[in-house]
Amino acid sequence: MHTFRNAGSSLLFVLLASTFGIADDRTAADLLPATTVIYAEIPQPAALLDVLENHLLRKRIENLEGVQAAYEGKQFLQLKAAVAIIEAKLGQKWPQILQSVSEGGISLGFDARSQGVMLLIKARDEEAAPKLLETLIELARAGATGDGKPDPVSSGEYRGITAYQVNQARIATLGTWLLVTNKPESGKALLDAYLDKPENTLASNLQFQEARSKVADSATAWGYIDIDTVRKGGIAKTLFSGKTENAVAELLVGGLLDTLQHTPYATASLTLDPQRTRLELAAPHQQQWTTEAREYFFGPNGSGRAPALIEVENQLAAISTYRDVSTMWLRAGDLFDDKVVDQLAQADSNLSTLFAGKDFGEEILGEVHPEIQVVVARQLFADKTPKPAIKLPAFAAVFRLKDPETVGPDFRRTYQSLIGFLNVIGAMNGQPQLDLDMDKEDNYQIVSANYLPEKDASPGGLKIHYNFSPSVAFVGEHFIVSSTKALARELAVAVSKENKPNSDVNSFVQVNVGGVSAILADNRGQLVAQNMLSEGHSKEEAERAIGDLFALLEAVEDASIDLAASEGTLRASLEIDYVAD
Amino acid sequence: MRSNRREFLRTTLGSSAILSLGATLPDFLRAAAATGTDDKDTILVVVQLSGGNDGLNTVIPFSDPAYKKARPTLAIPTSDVLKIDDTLGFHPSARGLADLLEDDSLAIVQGVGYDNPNRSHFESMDIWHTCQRKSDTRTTGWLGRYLDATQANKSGASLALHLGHEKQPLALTATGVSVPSISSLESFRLNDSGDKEVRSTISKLAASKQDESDSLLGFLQSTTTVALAASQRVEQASRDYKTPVTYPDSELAKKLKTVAQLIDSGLGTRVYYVTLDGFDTHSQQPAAHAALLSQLGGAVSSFVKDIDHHGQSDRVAVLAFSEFGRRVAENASEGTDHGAAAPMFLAGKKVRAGLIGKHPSLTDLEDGDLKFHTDFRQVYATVLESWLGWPNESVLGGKFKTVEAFSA
Amino acid sequence: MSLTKIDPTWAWTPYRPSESQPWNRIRAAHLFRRAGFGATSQELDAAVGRDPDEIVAGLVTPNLDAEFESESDAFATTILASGNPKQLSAWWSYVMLRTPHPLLEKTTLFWHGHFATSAAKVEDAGAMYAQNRLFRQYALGDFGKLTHAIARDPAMLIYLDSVTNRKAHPNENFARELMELFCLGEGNYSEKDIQELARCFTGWEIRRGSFRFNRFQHDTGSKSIFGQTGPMPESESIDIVLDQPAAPQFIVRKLIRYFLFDEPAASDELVAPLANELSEHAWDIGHVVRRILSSQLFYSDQVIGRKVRSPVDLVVGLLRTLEGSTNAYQLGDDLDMLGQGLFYPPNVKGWDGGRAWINSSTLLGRANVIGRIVRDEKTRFAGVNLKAYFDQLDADSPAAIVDQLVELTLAVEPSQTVKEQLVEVIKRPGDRSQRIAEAIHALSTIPEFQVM
Repeated sequence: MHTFRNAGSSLLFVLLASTFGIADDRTAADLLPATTVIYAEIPQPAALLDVLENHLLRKRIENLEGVQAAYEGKQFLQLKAAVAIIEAKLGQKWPQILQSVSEGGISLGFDARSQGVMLLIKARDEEAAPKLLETLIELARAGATGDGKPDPVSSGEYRGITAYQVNQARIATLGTWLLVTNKPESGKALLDAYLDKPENTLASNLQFQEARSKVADSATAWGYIDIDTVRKGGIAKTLFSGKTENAVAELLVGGLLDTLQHTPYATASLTLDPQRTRLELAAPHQQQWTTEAREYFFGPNGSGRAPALIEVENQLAAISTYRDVSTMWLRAGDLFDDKVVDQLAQADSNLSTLFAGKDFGEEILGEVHPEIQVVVARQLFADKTPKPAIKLPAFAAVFRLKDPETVGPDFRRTYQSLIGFLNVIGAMNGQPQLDLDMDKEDNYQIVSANYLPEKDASPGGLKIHYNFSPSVAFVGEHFIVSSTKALARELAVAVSKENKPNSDVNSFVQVNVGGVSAILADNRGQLVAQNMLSEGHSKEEAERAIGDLFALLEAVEDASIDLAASEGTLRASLEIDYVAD
Repeated sequence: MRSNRREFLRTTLGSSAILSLGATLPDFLRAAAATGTDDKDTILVVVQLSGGNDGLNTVIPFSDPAYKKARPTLAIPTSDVLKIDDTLGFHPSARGLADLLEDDSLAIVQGVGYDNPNRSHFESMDIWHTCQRKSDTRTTGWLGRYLDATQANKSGASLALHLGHEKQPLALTATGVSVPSISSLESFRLNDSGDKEVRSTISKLAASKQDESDSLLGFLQSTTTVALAASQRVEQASRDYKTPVTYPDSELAKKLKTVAQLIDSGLGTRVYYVTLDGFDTHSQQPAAHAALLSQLGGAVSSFVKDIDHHGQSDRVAVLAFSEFGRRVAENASEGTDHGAAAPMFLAGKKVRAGLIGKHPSLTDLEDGDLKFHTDFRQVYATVLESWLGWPNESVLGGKFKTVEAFSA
Repeated sequence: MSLTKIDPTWAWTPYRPSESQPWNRIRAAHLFRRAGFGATSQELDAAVGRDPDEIVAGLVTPNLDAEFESESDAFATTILASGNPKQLSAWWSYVMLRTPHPLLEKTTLFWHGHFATSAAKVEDAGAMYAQNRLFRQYALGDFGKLTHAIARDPAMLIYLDSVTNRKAHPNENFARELMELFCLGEGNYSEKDIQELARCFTGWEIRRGSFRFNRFQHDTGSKSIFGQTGPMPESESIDIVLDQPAAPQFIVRKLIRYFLFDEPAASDELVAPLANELSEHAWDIGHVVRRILSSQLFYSDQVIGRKVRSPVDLVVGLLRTLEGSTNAYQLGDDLDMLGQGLFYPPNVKGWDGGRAWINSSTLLGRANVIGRIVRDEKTRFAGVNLKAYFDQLDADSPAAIVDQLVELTLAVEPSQTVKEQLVEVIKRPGDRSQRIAEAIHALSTIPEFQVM
């Protein structure tokens, strides 16, 4: 029977092929209209399924208690039942069905003209898609009858092709293609393109061709967006307004906004393999697009480079960037609206009070170079007697001073008066007091402040304060501000030893997931207690749930993000590395 | 706005939800339909300032040397006072109250209190609520007795509403009328998770007759019925409200905005009751008191504006009181202790704006406290007679002379 | 017999099971509802096989399980590290749901309402927890010692603005509340007594979160309280208040209200015998609670079903009865919404209780909270869903489920119509657990659900 049908369909295929005179090697882009502004594609779904099927993370996720429960949940069981029916009908296992239906790739397009979303799935042969569609329609009809609802599926003909409608979705099969869209116009356009083979399609769009050529063939999935058209269409105006109205967002992504105002298109590509997940976003970029107000972001002529990474023991995360923060602070009037500028002015007044009357923008920020590094590290508390109940990581920022000779002593005095100020405030609120200390070594100096142990600790154990021993360090031209003395010292030693050249990117972030796990483990008691309260779990159940979280984190080695602007391209990428199985 | 009440009745009666409430509702709805309240019926909004407001630092006798002497650290500098006349002025944070006065919408009744004042929060508040002393049997509040009386007279549902999650004030306790308390419009909705059948079961359960002989279960039964019915009503009433007035971001402002919505919807409620707590400023008074006065002034002035915008200002008046003022002399922790006489406020377009009575003397004191010259029951009597149109004697348990607080 | 005319001798005679007053699941459920937060079906089975007096004795003098205590303490300590008092509400809700000593927790809650102190003002989670531990330590112990301890309790003194108390400006707040709300009640003291007592407390201060006696600010002059005259140093003055005959009466009346009935207030005659015993037993609260819970009055129709459930009784009670566990943060918020925020009593008078729990808002709130809890994904009953739970109880038909629900959760039998309606709800097609949840939601709106 099976063989017979296969033979029949092959026959039909030959017949059809000769009728229309095509051996269909067209891509989705050949069918999509030239006005398509968003396009995404998974070229080889089978390969993706294979990676997912065998992924280390997947096994770990499946073993989690919560996921196990979901597998027994009602919705999952319903889904399983539906899959079983389809498997029985088609006489194939679900993964095989998926594979045969989507072997030629899955593509998604959004057409600006018809406002339609179009899904195009290319099957291995001309039998798979119609058979699956038929089964799905039967299932939908049976379900509706069971619930006493009217027939949810209607059908119609266009140029001799039957199209079905379920809710908003319009579905048709055509040769090896399964087409789904939400707009009748889009559906007709696809069918017309299939039958008429027009010259003007997305595939013939030069910009699309350029974008596609830039994406590596190894990408598991990739996407394209015609920013020029979207921008002109007046969609997402705030995104293209060039303003953030939020100082933190400005600092993080402000420089990208200028590019978004000019760049013609952007691409995204995702590469997935068992050891690594990599997501890359890219867009054409020109130095001249960067406005004067945003020079602080990429540096003069885009020359700003993040300093090389300083590594310390137990590092959790590091951020390295080029940002001329002083210029940004002083340029606030060009970057933000009046409300934000007012808020920044207030903050400026408060910060100036805090920093012993110095102008925050000019005399504090203005004295450091734009190459900045922030390091976050786990604290071991080994040598410390007072261990706080909640254990926070230490963090520090490393700057280079423009004029270390004069500014150094100035900053030291500012630091000392800040500590005095904190002590006065702390004393008023019954908080522990800071004790100043100074260490001089051959090539660096550390000024630190430690919280004095309290006579009678509160019933909650040591306060969160004991995570901190705010310190500053001076190492040649380097200036370090740290939440703990230990990290200040470690960084001072590291900085004084080596002087690596800058990196070749604007910014990068590195996260050591193993370190994050360790700090969560340090606070395991807290996590378990919080889980008991929030889930109503008994202690044993809570221990198990937290165990699951650790099991999941153990699968990931580290993660990094970087941002680079070179003449021609602006590129941001995220990479996650997994622990080898 | 006139059509809203009718609209409300029509849509409510038409909704299947009400029908599903079954036998319990017709009485309630018939009463509402019969009485309605005419749209010209006046409405009273009571704002209770809990904890004992420092009247002396609210309406300030800045020119009196005794003021600065008694308040070496707490006195408001003359230059900061928002002047009412040559001797009196508002606390600088009571800008909203000053604006209301400017707008001829605020009456200040000075030196209000009562004989032999009690300085316990609870006892004094009970006295203000019931108009009775501890030695009397106190089961009902003054507004509750008013509700009881109008109910009997009009044979309809004269409703009062308490907004807030605190305990319902004793002032509203009546024998024949159960007053709903709502903490927000949301919390006053029965949440049936969208399941109509559950709601219908609940309605049927509420409709099943209780053994009348058990007073506790009877009380619970009637409160349940009132709760379900009023929930429907309020839910309906609060839809589609629009106002150009921007209320300040405070709890009191939120409550008063809700009151404005309910009034505008033509709900037959005559009395709304809200509270603002925190006036018990024994220590570190300046910042706390300033914040409270700013909340009070901001919320009430926005409310009056909003009501005016919706063409309801001829029928709405606000009454603000506190259980006592505070001691004239400040204490050692930059605060003040429980005192006696203090000003009361009436706000709205129909009040006779300005000062009523004189400021109590700061030198002729009783146990270190200001002496009252207007009994609080005189103000209640004024509200009852001149505003709500009800004889005060039976409600207040005696005849009290009214004050000139409303324009004719 | 009306409650105002109860014969004290009859009332306080210990209850002995008899044919007309048998010891059965109904009475056992009553005992566990009042002496704790309700009992599970198995607990009722176990209880009917035991002597009621012996059960009460076990409740009053709990054999403290060291492991639970130390774990609970460690748990609280962990929670306190964040320094947020809101988390304490969740912690206590959790403890009430899981404690093996429900009477101890219930009485701790009584003292929290009696010596009401709100974290809204105190803002120090550590101080609030220390006070809570104090209540638990003396909950069923010596009231005199508890009163002495509370007079030096940082949270209490912060709450009553008594952090500083100088002889030049004696702060009357604590002295007033000690007489009016903590020990004697209105009418049993004069304003003069308060002023004199306030002088005794001068120099009592809180510094950096701890009690300190500042001898320079203490008024050492002679005071006259209740006819006794002298310098009355430190705690002697508290003993003078505790020695007033009104004191044991005041406490006993309040305990009767908490454990027996909301209204009317117990008559002097009814209070007198237990007040005498409280004096004779050197303020041993456990003794009086035991007498109350094992009295004839306790098991009489004048008491069963005559108390309005507090939000804790309502919510924790339902969950404990059905071995439920749920998100404790949400539970803490729910209790707050219904008017009983743990660590957040409304004022120094504590919760009024009785009919004051009930108004339209809280009634709808009660239904909404119960409806939410039984539908919440995080709520489980003995670790499983409602259908599986009732299967375990061998209640597999809608009628059997309703019978179990009624027996376990209600003190007063509802009408047949109500039960039929609930059976109809469970009979509806679809997920059985969902239907049972809906039935419990509907059940929570009836008047009988609000009493115990």
